Amino acid sequence: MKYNKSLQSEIDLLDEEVQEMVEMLSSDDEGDRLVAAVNLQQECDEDTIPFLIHALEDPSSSVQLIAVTTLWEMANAKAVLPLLECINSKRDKKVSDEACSALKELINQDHLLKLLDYLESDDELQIIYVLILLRKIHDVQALPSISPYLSSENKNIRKEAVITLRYLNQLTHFTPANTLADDPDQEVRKETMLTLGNFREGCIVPILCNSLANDESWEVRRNAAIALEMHGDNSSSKSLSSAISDSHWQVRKFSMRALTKVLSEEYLGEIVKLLCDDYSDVRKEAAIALGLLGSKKAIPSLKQSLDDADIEVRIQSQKALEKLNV
Amino acid sequence: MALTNNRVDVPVIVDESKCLDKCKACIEVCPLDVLVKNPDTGKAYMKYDECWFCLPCEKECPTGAITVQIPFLLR
Repeated sequence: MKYNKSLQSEIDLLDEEVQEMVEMLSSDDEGDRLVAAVNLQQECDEDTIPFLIHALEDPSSSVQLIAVTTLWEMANAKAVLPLLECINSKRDKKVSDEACSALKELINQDHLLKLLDYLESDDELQIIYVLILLRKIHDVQALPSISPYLSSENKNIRKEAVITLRYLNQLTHFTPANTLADDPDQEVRKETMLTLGNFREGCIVPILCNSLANDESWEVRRNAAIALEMHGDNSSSKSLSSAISDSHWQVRKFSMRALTKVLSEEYLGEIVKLLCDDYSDVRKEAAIALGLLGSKKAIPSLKQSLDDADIEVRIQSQKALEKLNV
Repeated sequence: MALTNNRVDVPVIVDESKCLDKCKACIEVCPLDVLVKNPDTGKAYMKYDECWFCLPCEKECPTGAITVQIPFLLR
């Protein structure tokens, strides 16, 4: 790959040793170009940036990969736009992944409009990468551009779009995201739960409660419990008190944790039962909740937990008893 | 440092079919300077039987010609 005239004239300004490497980088032999790229990586000379950018178009993906890594190490803003050209399905997957990782560190607010231009593409991989990069900028101006991808036919795009929503500053509600709680794909539903946890809108708590009670995937139910903990809404207490008897221990653990924010003495019986759960994490959360509840009726059960096999449960039971002045 | 007697029974194995004659990436990064070029073939090899298993040689090789065999107890 020969250099154009402007790059040729820049070669003369370089050190003799670097000049040799840069000329080798345009050799016809792939091995020579690889050696030159590795040597330039070790030199890490800012003057070689235009040549490394030129190497991003090299026919060999190995040379491209080294050029991307070197530009990342140099962390120069000049490399941002050329690296954006590398995040698409025409490139080797390794090169695109490396370029995306580099861009995560190099992009800033100034590149928002450029990123939004790249988002309007037919290349699904490019859309996914740009959605990931928009999380770094977290500017709510990107919302109109992200919104159409919430209804994409590609489940990976829907997933990345809904994740990106929770990174946008000042975004407190966005109704199209609510419908993804019933998405056919489990991964999308899982991420939607966490995104809804960050929103503040009246209709969200019932959606989360419904997923907590009825979703077939325990991971979705667990994330619904985590989201309800973020909300701390009293109307979720009924659903959470049922979910602490869920078949999966992680759902029981996070529901118990969420329930501590909306505690009421009517759930005392169910919480005490969790002190005998098979999983120590659940027992620990139950001990914490009983301490916060402050009911004297829990004292005998907490005293029994002082002999628990797990030290963390014993510590939390002791702390709970101290709160109850025992 | 002890010289290696057998180039197969060492921790750093170089696939000579992939090793590039002009490249010195592995030699530059080795903290113990145990890798050298064979003047006859231009390929890298482990001259001294000493290795920290730190792996930059394997990672930096542009063609993936180097494999470091880490002893079982260090894995």
